[in-house]
Amino acid sequence: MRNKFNFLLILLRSNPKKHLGIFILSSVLIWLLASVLFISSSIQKDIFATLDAQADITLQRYKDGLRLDTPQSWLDEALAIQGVEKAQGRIYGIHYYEPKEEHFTIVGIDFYDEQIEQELQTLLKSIDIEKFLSRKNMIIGSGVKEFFDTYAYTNSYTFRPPDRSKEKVYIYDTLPKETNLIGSDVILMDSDEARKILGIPEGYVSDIILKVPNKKERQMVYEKLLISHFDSRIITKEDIAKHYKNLFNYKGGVFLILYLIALSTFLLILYQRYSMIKTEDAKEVAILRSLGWQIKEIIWFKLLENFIIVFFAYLTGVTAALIYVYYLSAPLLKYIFVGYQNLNNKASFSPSISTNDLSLLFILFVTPFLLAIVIPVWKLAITEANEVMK
Amino acid sequence: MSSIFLSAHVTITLFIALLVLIALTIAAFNTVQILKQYRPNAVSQMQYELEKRSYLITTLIQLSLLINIFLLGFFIYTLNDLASLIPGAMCAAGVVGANPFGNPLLILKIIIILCSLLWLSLNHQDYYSKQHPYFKKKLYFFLFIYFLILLNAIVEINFFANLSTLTPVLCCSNIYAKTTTAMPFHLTTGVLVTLFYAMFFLLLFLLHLKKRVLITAFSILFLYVSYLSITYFFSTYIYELPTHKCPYCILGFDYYYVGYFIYGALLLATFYALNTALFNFEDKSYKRASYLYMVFVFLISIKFIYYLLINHTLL
Repeated sequence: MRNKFNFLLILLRSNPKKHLGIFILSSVLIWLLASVLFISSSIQKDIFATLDAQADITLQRYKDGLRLDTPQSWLDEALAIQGVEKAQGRIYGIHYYEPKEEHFTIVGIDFYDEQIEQELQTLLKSIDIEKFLSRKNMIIGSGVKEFFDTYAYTNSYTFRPPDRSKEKVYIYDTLPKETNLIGSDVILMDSDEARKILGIPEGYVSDIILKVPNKKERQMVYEKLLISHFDSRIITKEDIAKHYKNLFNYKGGVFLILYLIALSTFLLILYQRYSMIKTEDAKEVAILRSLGWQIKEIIWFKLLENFIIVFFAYLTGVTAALIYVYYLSAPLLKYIFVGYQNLNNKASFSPSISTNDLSLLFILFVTPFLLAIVIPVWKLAITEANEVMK
Repeated sequence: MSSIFLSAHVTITLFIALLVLIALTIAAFNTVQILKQYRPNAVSQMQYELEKRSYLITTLIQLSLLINIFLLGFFIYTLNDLASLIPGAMCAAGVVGANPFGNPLLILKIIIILCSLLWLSLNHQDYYSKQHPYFKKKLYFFLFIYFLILLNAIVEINFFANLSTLTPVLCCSNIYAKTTTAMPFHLTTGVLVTLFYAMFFLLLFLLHLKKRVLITAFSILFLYVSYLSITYFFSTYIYELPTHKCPYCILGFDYYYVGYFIYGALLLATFYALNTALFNFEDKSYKRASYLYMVFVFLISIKFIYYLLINHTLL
């Protein structure tokens, strides 16, 4: 067994050009799928990490299929429910820049509120609140910054609230780049200012977020909220997670189906390529057979030879994909997942490599490869030694 | 079309299953031809051709069956993964119970794996004996397996096609809870566990005596009793939670994938027991079966015994 393996390695080393074409093609195909898998799992990891820090339950006023501003009185009602630890009204909305068809997300923050979401808290640590509130200031995401720079809003920007007034807001700072996936198109400002720009009347908020630390109580809280107001929509964290996963499966799934079509073509090429018996191969087999090898041994020997090639192609493809995604941040391919409807998504990917993805890839590529070449290999193995040697 | 087909795991499972089916169809087609025309004592060009073709069949079958064995683990993994997509499901139990095709599919897959292993063993035996005594037997046996795999493909497609991501299903704690469904045959846990250990020792004894017919019957029965006792008794000790009864959760990450070893040992042990009992090959197989049964029982009993030693009571 060991001798055979050594012999196989010598054979592969002495004639490396023979399998070069198949090796390169396989590597490229594996690289392509591996890249998509890595991008998808990396984004999923990031998004689920952000989701963890978000509110357990979101309560909105929802009437006739439209989201309306939620009365602030709902907040106290929600707090009265057993199990709700915190309730907080949020003020946010979308600012639409008509000439360029761009959207920004305006988020209002109450800087003196101690219940601010954790993520924002870390962000705001570096800001001098007194100085920030001394005049109308805003903190913008890097995508917004780029847009403002392009149109020469270097110092301030004037919003037009619904009441036809003008609101000039100064740019205070830019958000750090790590928050790009969600924070690229965000504008942060004081909640009163945001309320004015978005036209949300006093006594109302955009929606209410609740913190329910005990997972088992969430369903009960959900039902109580549902009974208290019929014109409401209640979104739980689990709903959002499931929705995200479905969306990713959809995007990844469509790509995978296209990929399977490509893979099937590749298998046909493989079958053709191996069916054309070269005299060189036939001679090799003939020599082995005259040395006393059995047909069965030759078939498995050839399968092993190809397995080694595809295995190395697998390693090469996966390594290439790792470099492409995590070092070069996946140019071009990332748009399958990141989407372009946001202002700007210059996302970089945090490493997320799972054995799940790697084994998935291995199964998907290696098994069809071996199945496709069995018949040609068998045909090669049964060629008569004396016919070839004549 | 339900969006379940867009899950990478499902698509890949079905794609590979399709390729394996194609390969096996080629093999089955050739098998029928060989069975029709094979005359072991005739000396003609035709017989020589047929013999060559038998190499192709053997290789195709071996490769496909190896892949199938590998795919079973992958299938279970897929089921656990799908649990996050289907409302209500917390592990594979909910997914399998989501429609009437789930449980038959799983049983069918286990039967196929056992038959596949037996076929590989028979083939090995046939190949290394001069007269090829099992040649026709193994081909008929393969046609039977092929029929099972065809059936499996039909059930599998039906299973995934009817898997809705919208309809809620029950989670494992509900499916196996005492209040909703009683145990089959009105068993109680006490009787079940006694039965389990009694059968285990009986099997070891039978393996020692080499009673072939009895081993066949009891090893299959033991497979079922093991499933029941894992679900209703031993699993609660592994999860350390008296209300958590589930045969699938032990396959998950939370329990360090220990289930794969437990079920792997059980299936292998059953294979070796059946192998010796049906084909009577060698003494080694009897011993292997006994050892693997011991490993299996050790793996599932260890937490139960540990609990008994510390608390002097049952969970």
